[in-house]
Amino acid sequence: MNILLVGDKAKTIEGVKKLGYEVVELDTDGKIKGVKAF
Amino acid sequence: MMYNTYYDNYMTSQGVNVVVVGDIKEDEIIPKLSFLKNLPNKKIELPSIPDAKPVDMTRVYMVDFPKAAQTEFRVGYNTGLKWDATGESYRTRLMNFALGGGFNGRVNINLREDKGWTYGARTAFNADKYSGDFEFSSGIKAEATDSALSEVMKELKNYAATGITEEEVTFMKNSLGQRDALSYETGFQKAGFIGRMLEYNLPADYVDQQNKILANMTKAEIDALAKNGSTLQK
Repeated sequence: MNILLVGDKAKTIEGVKKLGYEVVELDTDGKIKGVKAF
Repeated sequence: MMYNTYYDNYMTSQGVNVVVVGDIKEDEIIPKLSFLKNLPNKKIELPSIPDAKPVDMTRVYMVDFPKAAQTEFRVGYNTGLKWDATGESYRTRLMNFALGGGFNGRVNINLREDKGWTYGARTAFNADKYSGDFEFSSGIKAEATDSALSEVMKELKNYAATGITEEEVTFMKNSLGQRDALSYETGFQKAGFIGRMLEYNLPADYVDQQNKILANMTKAEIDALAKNGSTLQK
């Protein structure tokens, strides 16, 4: 499953990380900023 | 320049269908569409698009939108299931109804009605001539992003594992059967209906065929579709 979240990273990232999924940050053009960046 | 190139490469009169719905007669509209004769009559080779890569593992892709009050969710994958009127694609769309195909779908009841995290949540099996995808979509209160994601994944896994209830089967049949009567009232709807028949070369009674399938759908059939590898297990 691909999960795309568009929102305030500062408010959401800590909680999302705790769910155990690999998190990949994209820029606003959809390009990968960094794998396992968090 | 870009527009000229696009026109030169991709515009053609071949395969064009025109549907006109309104308070107008055929002999009135035909002359007004004569400009279509100016389209180039040539065969177009559409670029081939490779299939989407299979999802090897569930990942979160995040786009930072500072100070956003809501987080937009799009959760899904490519099913590869092309649109059809009466086959697996149609039956899969019926299967989706109880999960998130209407206001009373499980994801909306959970995330909106029970939790109050969103104004609306839905799921859909989208499809066309070329491919298909599954998608959950919703705008969720930012503070509930992690909790909502956990609930969404639970709902998808639960539906694939335990399927639909008999009450949901009955509700689906009643809702979709009654909705059909309102589906072709406006000109916009009628044009879409006829356009679809032309695009997919559908028989005139395809809606009747769909209604028979709907009336005969069983919990066992929906459960099997929900468990199927091309649906909710990826």
